[in-house]
Amino acid sequence: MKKIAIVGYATSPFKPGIRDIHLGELVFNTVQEALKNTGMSIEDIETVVDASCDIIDGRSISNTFMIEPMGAFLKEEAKVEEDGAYATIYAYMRLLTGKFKTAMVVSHGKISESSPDTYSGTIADPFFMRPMGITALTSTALHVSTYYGHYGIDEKYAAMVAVKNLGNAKLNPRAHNKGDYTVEDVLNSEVLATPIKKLDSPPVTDGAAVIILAVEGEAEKITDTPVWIRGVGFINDGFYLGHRDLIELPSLREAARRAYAAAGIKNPAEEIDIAEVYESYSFNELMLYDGLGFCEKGEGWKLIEEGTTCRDGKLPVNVSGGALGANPLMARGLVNMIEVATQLTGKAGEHQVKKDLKTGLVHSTSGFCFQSNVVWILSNEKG
Amino acid sequence: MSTDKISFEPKVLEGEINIPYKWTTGPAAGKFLTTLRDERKIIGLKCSSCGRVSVPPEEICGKCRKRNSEFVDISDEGELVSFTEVRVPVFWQPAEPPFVIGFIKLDGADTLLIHRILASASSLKKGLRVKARWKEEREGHILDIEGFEIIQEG
Ligand SMILES: [Zn+2]
Repeated sequence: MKKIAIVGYATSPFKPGIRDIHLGELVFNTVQEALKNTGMSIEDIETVVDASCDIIDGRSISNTFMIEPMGAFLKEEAKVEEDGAYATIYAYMRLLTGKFKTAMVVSHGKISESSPDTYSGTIADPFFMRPMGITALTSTALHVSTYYGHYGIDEKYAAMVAVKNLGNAKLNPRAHNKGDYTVEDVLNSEVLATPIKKLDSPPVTDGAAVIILAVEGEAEKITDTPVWIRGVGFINDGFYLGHRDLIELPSLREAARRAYAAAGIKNPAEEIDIAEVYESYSFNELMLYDGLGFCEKGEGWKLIEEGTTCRDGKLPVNVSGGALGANPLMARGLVNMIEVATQLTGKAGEHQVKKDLKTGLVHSTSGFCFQSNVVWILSNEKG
Repeated sequence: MSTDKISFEPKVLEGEINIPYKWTTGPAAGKFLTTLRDERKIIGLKCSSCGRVSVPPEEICGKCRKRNSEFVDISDEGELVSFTEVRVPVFWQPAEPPFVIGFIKLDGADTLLIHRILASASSLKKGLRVKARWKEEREGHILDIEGFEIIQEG
């Protein structure tokens, strides 16, 4: 199979509400920056995949008005109503067909123009979940109550995740929600939906992220530091929360298993050097350690207690600050990918991890309570 | 890096989208909802292959991909599996915050129902027995059950 690499990327500023520029300009500027970083021109981009959300943009088929800013004018372009790490799957597959040499993934959202609640509340079905007030917050609270209750995990371990991610965000210019907090600060912050508190929760973030992919042969011409895709897995679970296994996390586990199989990874905890996962809420990160096979089932709390997933630990997770640091809806998965790519190529600046890195994991999720998951394995070695 | 700067007064256009819908329930959700209304009863759907009884009814079993048609009666009592007290306003909320929603394992069902729990969070714990409080005026809606109350012991 043809090998594919990430050859370029850029992000917009991430802010709680970007008012001075509109969505089109936000995307235009970010695409231009990605092109500039790679020395490419828009003519060099052969196909474009867009990740955006109609509800967030307030328009049906909302890619229709982004063709010019994205640079997709009179090109093959398609939109994925999912996070950017999903749009990347389709760009990757287009390159694997052999028809294209380069592809660009563009993800964006200005959720502050509507509200995160409107977005996640409309994911719920009108018959059984909307009337119960199911949103990202409340579904996560129910999930946490179920999973943490099952394993008897203390909420202080989730608070330790929040302290880690908000602290990591301080060094990351791409994060806007950051600070020095203690476990007590988190536990004493405003309760939103038990046991989730304000400091366990993501901020409102506007922003865009862009990556450029290229096939081997072309990738090496574009950059001296391509980041190679070594494997991907993505899986969907059923819809209604009460019909699903919220303890076993089967969709997450299977997505990871497939990505590891593709990349030849046998022991993820030993072989993965760095991971960026879409935690959304601090509590979710411990479930991610479990589902991604970083620990035994239900034992994610040990990794945060032992410092394994801290910046200087054996397997740093969310050194960017994660979604707690900045949560640009639809773009967060690409931000995770960009973070791992910058770390693997030693370009992360002040928040570069101080150890040798070879293999990185990127995770993103969609729907409620990890309904859908995508896991990418990236490496600075072609393999 | 963008084009030449245009000097302008920052302008934000305010608006909203109100879109009416008429959602067809289909046979499974439809029969479940009309049975709530007409018989004051909760029913579940049994998968003809794996035998799992789902509430609300799962019209197509994800695992077996069977279109299910065998309805079975389910108790309006069950066990509280987990819950959250929601303290902030959320989209389409069923009540003014604070309100409690939880996962309930109804007797006779193999899946969990999400519904309101009509009690203060401080009085709740995993494993408590709960029972539906029915509305007198019912319209074929999941909120024909107002919520679930704790069954007092003894
Ligand atoms: Zn079945």
